[in-house]
Amino acid sequence: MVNTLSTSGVVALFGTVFLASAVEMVEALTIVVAVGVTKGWRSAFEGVAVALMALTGLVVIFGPALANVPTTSLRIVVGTVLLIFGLQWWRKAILRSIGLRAKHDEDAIFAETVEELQQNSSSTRDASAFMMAFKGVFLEGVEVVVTVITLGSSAHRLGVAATAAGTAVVLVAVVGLIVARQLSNVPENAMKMVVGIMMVAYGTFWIGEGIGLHWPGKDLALLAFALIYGVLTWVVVLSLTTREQSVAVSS
Amino acid sequence: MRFIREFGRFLFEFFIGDTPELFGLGIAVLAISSALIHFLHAQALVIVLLPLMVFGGVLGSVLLERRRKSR
Repeated sequence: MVNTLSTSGVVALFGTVFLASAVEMVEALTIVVAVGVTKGWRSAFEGVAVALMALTGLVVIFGPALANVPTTSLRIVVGTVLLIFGLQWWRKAILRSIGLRAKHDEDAIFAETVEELQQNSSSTRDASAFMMAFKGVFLEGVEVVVTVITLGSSAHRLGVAATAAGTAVVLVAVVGLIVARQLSNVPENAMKMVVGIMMVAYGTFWIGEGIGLHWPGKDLALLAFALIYGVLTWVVVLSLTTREQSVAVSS
Repeated sequence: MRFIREFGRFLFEFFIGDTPELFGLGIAVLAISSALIHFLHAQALVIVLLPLMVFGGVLGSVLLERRRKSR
């Protein structure tokens, strides 16, 4: 039996994929803008175009292939992947919120990329600039592809997931062109926190479904997990931030 | 050969990286929950235990990192 998501589940799926894609694309765009500003836009755009083609190829190859895997096995594998992946995002976002890890600074990425490129010679068609733009978009894009394929195929909504990712890519590109180098103003940690929690909620839900568990409230359990994890995170962040501050004051 | 090695390194960084405990947690959550469902048919227990293990795991990992940083 194929169990697809209800409307609330589809909205949650769209939102999660959209946010995850937007966060990754902000990072990729920072690198592309740095390459474009330093070495010219031609090589930067060529790198982006080739990376986007490679990423589309991954979705076209692996998306339909996963649709043929039995739903139960798919949900166990996808649930575990999402859980592991989401736990990494969630943990990092908590550590940043309580000040134990530096907030991801797009300005630092920009400066680092520019510095690396300036060490190489300049020309209208630059191999290092092409590679830098390609790697930036491809490596960040792989995370988007994993999110689209895992969430989309396990919910039998690959189209919704791909549309959400596509919308995020276009939106970030347009906003990026307007704000150019002010990408550090994007509330990246808050977005990563939401995505991490949603991925873990999906992971919890799909693992349960995959092993034969019947969640109370069916799809609503997904939103309940997100809400419970969110509230618990807020309590943890509040409690650990207060402790960090009191330790700092007493020392 | 080099490509396979690079790809292996990429996958390692992607799923394990500097947080092997979270990878272990994901596998443990799946194994424990499956065992409870298939051998004990403990549906109600797993409904409560699965999210608890997940949150407990991430909290443990955060506290571990906090301890590492304070040393």
